[in-house]
Amino acid sequence: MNRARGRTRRTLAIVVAAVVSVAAIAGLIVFYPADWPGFAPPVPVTVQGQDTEWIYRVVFTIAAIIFLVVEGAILFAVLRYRRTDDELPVQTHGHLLAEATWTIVPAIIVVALFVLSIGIQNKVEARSPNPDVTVDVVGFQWQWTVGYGCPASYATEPTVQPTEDCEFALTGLGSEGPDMHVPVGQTVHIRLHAADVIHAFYVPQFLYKKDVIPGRVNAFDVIVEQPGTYTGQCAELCGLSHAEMFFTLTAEDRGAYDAWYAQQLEAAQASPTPAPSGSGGPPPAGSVVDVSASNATAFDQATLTAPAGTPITFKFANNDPAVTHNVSVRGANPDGSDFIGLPLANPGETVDYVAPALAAGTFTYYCSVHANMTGTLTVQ
Amino acid sequence: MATTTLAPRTTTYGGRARIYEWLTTTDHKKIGIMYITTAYIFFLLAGVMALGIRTELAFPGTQLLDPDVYNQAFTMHGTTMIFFFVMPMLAGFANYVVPLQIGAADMAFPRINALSFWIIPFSGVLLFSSFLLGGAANGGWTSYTPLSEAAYSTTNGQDLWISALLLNGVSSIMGAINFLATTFRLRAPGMTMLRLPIFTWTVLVTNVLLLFAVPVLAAGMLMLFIDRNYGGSFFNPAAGGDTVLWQHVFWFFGHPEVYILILPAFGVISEVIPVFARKPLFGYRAFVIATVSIGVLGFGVWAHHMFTTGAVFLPFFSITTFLIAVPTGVKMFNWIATMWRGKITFSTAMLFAVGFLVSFLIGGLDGAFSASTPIDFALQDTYWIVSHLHYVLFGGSAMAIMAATYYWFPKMTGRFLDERIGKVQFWIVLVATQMTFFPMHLLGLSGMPRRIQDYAPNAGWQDLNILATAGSFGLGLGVALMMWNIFASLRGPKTAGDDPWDANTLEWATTSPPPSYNFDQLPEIRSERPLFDLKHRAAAGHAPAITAGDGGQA
Repeated sequence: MNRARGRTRRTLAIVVAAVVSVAAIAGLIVFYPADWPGFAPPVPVTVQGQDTEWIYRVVFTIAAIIFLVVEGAILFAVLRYRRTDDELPVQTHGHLLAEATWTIVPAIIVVALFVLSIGIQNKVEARSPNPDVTVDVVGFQWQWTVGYGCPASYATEPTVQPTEDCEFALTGLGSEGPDMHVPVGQTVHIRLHAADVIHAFYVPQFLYKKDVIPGRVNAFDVIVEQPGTYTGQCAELCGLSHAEMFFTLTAEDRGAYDAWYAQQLEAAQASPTPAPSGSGGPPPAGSVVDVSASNATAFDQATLTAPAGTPITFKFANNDPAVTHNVSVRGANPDGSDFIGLPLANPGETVDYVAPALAAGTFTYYCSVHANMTGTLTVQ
Repeated sequence: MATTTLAPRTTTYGGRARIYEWLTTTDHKKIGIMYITTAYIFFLLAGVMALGIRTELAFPGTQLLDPDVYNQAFTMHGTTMIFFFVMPMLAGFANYVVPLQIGAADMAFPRINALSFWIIPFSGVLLFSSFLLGGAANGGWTSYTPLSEAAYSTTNGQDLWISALLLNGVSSIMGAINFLATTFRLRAPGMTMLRLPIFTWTVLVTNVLLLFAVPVLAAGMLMLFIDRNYGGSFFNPAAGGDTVLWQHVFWFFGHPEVYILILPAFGVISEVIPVFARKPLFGYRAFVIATVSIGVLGFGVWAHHMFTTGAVFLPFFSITTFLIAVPTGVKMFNWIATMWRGKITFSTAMLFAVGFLVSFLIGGLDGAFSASTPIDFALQDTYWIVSHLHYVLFGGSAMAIMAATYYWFPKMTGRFLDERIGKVQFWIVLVATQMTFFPMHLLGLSGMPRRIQDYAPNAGWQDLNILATAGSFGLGLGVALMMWNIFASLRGPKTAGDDPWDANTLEWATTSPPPSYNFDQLPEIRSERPLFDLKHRAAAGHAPAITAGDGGQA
């Protein structure tokens, strides 16, 4: 009698728990805010990304089924087999058939998933012998340089200077990354070089990333299908401003891409990289201040002094073997904006930056690539 | 069979003598308690850092930690949780429980055991001293080169990190040898290898893993130390070294390390569930085989952490990673089958064991995503991975550690932890675990990288980050309740008795707490549940006569 009532109560508990669980899952699905990230990855915009999305959906479906079955079994056991008396339950030590089943069935599932996943991997990692466009990307602390029309030797050279060797190159500044353009529907071959530490080239909507490793040239092919501008970001911890290492990737028709390319090329030829200072050219204007950097942690000088009322030439020696730097001054432009020293000085280069005349006072100078590199400029 | 005979001590200690006794003890039980206490202190420190990290990520912009401090915080959080919380905690429980479970009087080398313990607090202090000496290590707990090289990590935090972990590793290696010697040589008569309680089995396999994995990490760290301080170039490609080499060395240690952190947790769950379901562990032998195969396979999966380096042979590491799901699945099914048709009592320990099953399942299923190389290309180094590893290490290891605390506290002290507070704590921890760690899956999938200090306001990541931060403070509350429970219960009456849970294994066949020599007398050992056999002679028809585990009902 008592036992029968106990069983009814437990059955009721199981039914209630099942209903509550189903309702909770349904409620989450219905009321989950549409603009929050969900279980689906970002909409893939590349051919390769679509393959990855397919295998993700396969694994997700199987994982979801296993999740529901196993959590359901746990919930059922917990509700159904509560202790109600002191009698010892049957002491089951095992069951060969059951144990063989839950060894063999999962083994078959994982081997099947492995086979499917290797098939997709081969598609995603496939290389075209003749890519339509080749782009070289250099990751450095904490920005990217994107080089177009780079020498063929870049395929195996890990340490490269696209600003010197390529037809043109774009470099990000601060947290404003470069905007790399690629043609839609064509094979783009992307080669990755690291100037200092490991970075990772990651575009969420590609569903793909690849590490950017010093001493190696990593490369991959991608065909972007959807025109648009996509944000990318460094995905491997690379130091202080790791979170600021953005870039954008604009995919457009071949015609628009060619026009953009021609425009960039023209701009690059119009303002060639300035010759290192001291090799002729007009003498530096105003007063000259020597400043240098040997690493990406700080300038070699913590303080600088310059006279007021005359343009200041920063003769900047980049002695850092790895990374580009510059000298910028906070609030030094007449309109109150920051003076940004351009072009960036490549490793081993010396570049003159002419800042506007300043009133007496204290200013902060910094490297616009490395916001952590700061110093105090006293104008008197 | 070597046994140590110790005469019962009659001296009572008071005041300073008592402190002296603890400082100089070689009693595995006191050492175990000191391990556990130390580990809980480091758990609180690393937990505070976790709250700092979550506070920083709750909103875009800088809230609490600037990028420099943030990088130090997550590096020290990970390092401390792994090397100074989970490892010493499990070593502490193993220290306390294993000699009792096998019917030994102490560990095989009691003085080495004391040395193993005392290294831990000192190396921990060494690690944390870096905060006062110019800044802690900031390259993540993985300390990838070249970021951890002298050119990019200019404070001496990285050197202190290396020194502290080398010392920690010495402690682990000595402990591993000690456990292996103890388990192989000091088992009581009748305690054959296939009658070892599963917790002891998992500790045994864990210590084999430690013995093979930790020296590899030590070698890697020495190379890094030479690179940093003596002009070496093991990891410097410009001078003929290889940056990726560090990752191979680190993960050759690092992946077995994951099993070092989770196998004893499996062992705890395998002790708790049979006791509170009043049934033997379903498929004992399958469980032993699964434990050993996880240990073996664990050494063949390391490069699945490196799929995106373009420097490893993907198919091999993909299939081994997929395959390791099989023995792990066997365990999950065996635990559920143990509960099936049992008579379950929901003590706090059992609740945490069920919480472990519910949460660890998610962490395990995540593994299938990472095993598939194309999916890993999308998920590697995103917040998804942070979710996955916390489902394994918090939903798994930490949940099991809480179960172990509630389960063995009465044996260690003779007192119960308050079960009402325990149950409140359990529900807070269970809900907060899902709230903190589940949204990280979705954030990572949508593109949020790990180890970033800031994100753009328009990235769409804000709401789920707030949810995760709220959850993390829930976890903080749960842990605070547990600390309160421990302190309050230590002042309570000794009401637990010798065998409060009606348990199966030998640690419950002596007093609570046990005398320094452990046992006045041992019951006859004829199965993996000697105490059960003793109590249920009448039910011997159900209990196996000699061997256990091979299909009683089949």
